[in-house]
Amino acid sequence: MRVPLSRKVFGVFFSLFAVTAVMGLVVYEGLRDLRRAAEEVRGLQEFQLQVEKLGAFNRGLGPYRSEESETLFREEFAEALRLAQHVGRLARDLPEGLRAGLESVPTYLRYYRAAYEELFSRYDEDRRQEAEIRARLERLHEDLESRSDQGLGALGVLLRAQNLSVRVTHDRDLSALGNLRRLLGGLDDQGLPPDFLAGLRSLVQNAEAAYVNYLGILDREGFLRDTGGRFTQVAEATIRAISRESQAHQARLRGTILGLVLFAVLLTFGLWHRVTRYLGRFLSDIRHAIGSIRAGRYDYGLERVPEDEFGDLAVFLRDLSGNLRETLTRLIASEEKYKRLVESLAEWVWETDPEGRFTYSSPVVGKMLGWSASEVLGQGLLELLPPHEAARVARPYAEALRAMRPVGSVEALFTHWDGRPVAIESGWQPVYGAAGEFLGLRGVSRDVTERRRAQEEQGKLRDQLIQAQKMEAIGTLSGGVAHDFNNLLQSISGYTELLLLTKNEEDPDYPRLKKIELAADRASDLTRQLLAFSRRLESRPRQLDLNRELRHALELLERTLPKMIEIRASLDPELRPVWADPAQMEQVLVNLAINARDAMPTGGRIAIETRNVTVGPGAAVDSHLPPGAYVELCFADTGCGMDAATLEHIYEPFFTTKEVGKGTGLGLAMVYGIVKAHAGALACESSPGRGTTFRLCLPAHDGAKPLPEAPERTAPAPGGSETLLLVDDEEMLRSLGHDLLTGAGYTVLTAESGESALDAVRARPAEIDLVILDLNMPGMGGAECLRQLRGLGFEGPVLIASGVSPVGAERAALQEGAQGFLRKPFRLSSLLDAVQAALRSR
Amino acid sequence: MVRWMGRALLLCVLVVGGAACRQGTGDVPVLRVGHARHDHHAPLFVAARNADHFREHGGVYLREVLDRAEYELVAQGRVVARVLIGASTGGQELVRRLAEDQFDVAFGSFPAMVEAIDRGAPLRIIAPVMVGGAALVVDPGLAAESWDDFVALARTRGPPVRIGYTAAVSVQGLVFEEALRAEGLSYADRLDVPEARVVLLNLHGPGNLIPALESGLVDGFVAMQPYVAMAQEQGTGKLVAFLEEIPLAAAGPYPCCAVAARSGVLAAQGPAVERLLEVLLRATRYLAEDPEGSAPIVAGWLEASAAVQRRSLPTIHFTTELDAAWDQGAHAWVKAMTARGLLAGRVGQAYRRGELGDALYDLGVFGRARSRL
Repeated sequence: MRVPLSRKVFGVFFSLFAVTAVMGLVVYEGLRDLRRAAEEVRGLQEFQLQVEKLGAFNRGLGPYRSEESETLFREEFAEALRLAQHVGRLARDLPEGLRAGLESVPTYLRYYRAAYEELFSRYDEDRRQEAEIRARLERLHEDLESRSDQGLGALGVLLRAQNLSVRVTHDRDLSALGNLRRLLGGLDDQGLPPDFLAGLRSLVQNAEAAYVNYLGILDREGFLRDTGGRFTQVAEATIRAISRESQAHQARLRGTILGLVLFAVLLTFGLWHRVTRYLGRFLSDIRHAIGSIRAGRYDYGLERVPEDEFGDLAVFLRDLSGNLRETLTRLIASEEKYKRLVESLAEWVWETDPEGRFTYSSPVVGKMLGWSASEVLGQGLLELLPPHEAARVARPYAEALRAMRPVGSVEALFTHWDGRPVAIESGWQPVYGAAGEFLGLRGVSRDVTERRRAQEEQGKLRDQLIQAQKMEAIGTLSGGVAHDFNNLLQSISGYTELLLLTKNEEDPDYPRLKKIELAADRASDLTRQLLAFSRRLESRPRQLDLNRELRHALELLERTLPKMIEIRASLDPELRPVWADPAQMEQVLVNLAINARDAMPTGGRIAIETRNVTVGPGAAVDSHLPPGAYVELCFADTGCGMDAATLEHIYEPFFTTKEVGKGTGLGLAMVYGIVKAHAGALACESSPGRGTTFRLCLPAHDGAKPLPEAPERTAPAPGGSETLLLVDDEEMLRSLGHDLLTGAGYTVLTAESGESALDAVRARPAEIDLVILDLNMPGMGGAECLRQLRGLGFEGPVLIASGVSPVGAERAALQEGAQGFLRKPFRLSSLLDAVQAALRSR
Repeated sequence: MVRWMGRALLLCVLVVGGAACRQGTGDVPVLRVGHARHDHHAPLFVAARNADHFREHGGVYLREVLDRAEYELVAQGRVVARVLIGASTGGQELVRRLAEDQFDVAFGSFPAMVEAIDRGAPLRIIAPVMVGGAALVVDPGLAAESWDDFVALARTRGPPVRIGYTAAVSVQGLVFEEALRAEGLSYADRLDVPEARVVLLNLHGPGNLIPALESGLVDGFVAMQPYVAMAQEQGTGKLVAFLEEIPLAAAGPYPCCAVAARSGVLAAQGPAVERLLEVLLRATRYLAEDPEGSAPIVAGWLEASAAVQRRSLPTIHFTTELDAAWDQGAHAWVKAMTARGLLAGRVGQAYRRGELGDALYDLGVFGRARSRL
């Protein structure tokens, strides 16, 4: 049956209240009984006192008592009787013996009064007898005095009788009475008068009566004394009995109270024990529940669950533990999931205490730094850093700890357990407890070594790009300048050559025209170098064994370089072939050697090495190199070296550190342009005093077809009659070409642009036999013009004339539709040869 | 907390246990026994002073604690009661004190007991003690050697014959008055009644008997032993006749003394009273069977002359039988007292209903004690 907790508590307190109430009632009743006993004792004591007063009166009263004293005695007796009746009423609650004694008190008090009355009458009788004796003695004396015949004998008898009678009446001497009787018995023959003798006999009778009365007085006095004493005894016995009873009652009361106290104590013990057991069992259940929960046992059982609120609480707790189990299971799974998640992260997740010591570390730290997670715990973040990095990071870290503020990113260079540097980027935020207290830091660190390297590489690439863009711009600039200059040179040399055709050697202008022609040639070389730098120099690549070319170049260099410069070559015999222009390769080697020579004015060593390399992503020489097989040429000297500022400009045209007149500043620029033109890469490593090393990477040969080249000029070709369309945006060149070709017999049509050329072909599609097409023109340009010419159905040969070598799509287009390439500036013979060759190819 | 409660519990146990122990003392009941210092109550003296005899004969005896004051009643080696012995002046006084709960058991005069019971006192007579033992003693100078002589003397002598007695209501006085009436002798209790042939003077106690006789205040007295024997022994008086010998007094000897007990004591301490009564009855029988041997014992108790006791005791008819003679004498007493208007209460009514025995005696106690003799 379900009993609510409130009822149980009420039961406990009501039990204690009931015991207390019973104790209170018992004490109240006991005190009332004691008060009643005290009243009874007081009544008895008053009665006893009154009896004592009566006794005192008894001793004070006598035959000669006053009326007032007798009246007072009677009043006192009445009071005693009243008290006796009161005392008698007490008897009903007393034991049988005392009750009889007390109940008899009024009766015996009446006897007592009767005895007093008798005593008073006997007192009166005694007084009367004494008076009578005295009167009789007086009469006897008077009678004796009146008798003159009586002598002293009669008087003596009278006096003796008087003495004896006084002894009887006053001294209560019974023997005197006997003597008196004997005296009287001896007077019969004494001759005393009969009246006198009769008077003496009456005297004796009076004395005897007085004595007998006295015996009665004694008896009554004794009775009164005894009865009074008895009253006192009864009162005292009753008082004692009441006192005993009172004491016994007190003892019983004490015993009862003690018993009740004992009962109360036992009840309290019992209730305490039961409540303790009850609460203990409940607390035990709770402890058991908490212990089970703490131990991870959520399905613990409950025994003897009380059917009350505690039981509800225990059941609720058990249900709660069930929910907790489910929640904990989910939490554990969640924690496990997030733990796995955290541990699966490439980032290092960690936590510290307020002092910055690690309290948690994800295991990735082992991979990241070579420390196990357990080894990291207890250490500070700074302790894992090398001293110089720790000093650098210490300040922001300490500030973050002190300010308890988040830090987004701090990068530091750690040292891996195996000694390699590891760049770690860390960010953290403070962790606060529920009460807002600072608990430490929680941070995430990631290995940014690769990123840093990539950034460095990217920076390097960016620098290279900037350099390349700069070089490209310079190349474009120098190429444009060279192109325009070539056009000028073409006019100069062309017209010079026309003039020379009209002069003989004896002509005074002939030497001057030759000098003009020589200057134009030198200027043409200069423009060639510029074109080589800008990769517009027309090359004639072929499959090439770089080692063989190097050996030829080495023979040349050993002859030309000072003897104090030692040349060492380490050539890979298995070196792959390359597709390159051998002359340009030679120029590269010569220019590098000249630079090395100039860097070693007091001698030194040149080391040349070749080897096969395979370039992957992020190649060391040039990150722009597409992956593939390459041949590397390493050209190193032990010269003075260069600083970084110099290194940034060494490939720029006309940059030189040499004295004026000792270098043009185009050597390394041409090397750069040639290598780039061969789809290779060039790198230079140098530092002051440590020499310089150039690394050239050229693609291994992949079998590409060479561009058809114009046939070598052997002798000036004769002219023809065909109709030629000369397309060039330069008026001067069109005029020169018109003059030259017209002079050779050809019919020359000119067009200043690709569009004009197309119009001319559309206008005379069958008349034009050959088109001489400049590549670099405004508008659609030469390559597009060629494509559209073919689109119009023009099937005649097209000869490309340009100061620069075509590249990229332009080159591809020309490869498909052009029959020859004529490099500007060209000689007349070269032009006619090229025209003849192209016409022959129809 | 638990220690304090344990101490409180222990204290409670000790206090309650102590109280229980105190209440456990006093298992031996106390019997207060009253008597008068004369030979009629001699069984008490013999029982108290001849303990060895009764220990050997019957196994119930009084072991002295304080001479003539406190004894232990031992039955078969076990103390069954403490006996406190108190003395009083005479039979009437003893009965009064018994009624007033001053005694539990008392010797006393049978008429006084009857009168007390009649008044409603919670008493019951539990055993007879003696009959007879009282006599008329006169001055040796008087010419009265027998009852007849005394009667003749009273009739012929001029002044009335003065006879003293001890108490207003005494066996001896009552018997003597009956005898005087039977003889037709006038009597008075005052000296100044000249027509009276016999003057009965209440001498208010046996102590006045012999002095009054010596002084001539009385010519004789009727009294119980040992005053008769004392007067004889001293020569103060001469025996005229024992009262039971007075032919005209009554039929047979009058029950003189008996043992009575309060009803409450009989109810509460019945076994102890039985044992006490048993030894008293044995002593009574002892006295009856060996008065000569009992004389020194009684004399020692009374601090009297052994010779007096040797003269006295044989004249007392100690009895342990509530026989027909006792019953006859008892009825005679009741009849006489009723006739004098002394019994108007319970006894008188019982007497009229013929249920005197039930009113006077507790025969159960007597019977059980008597059966052990």
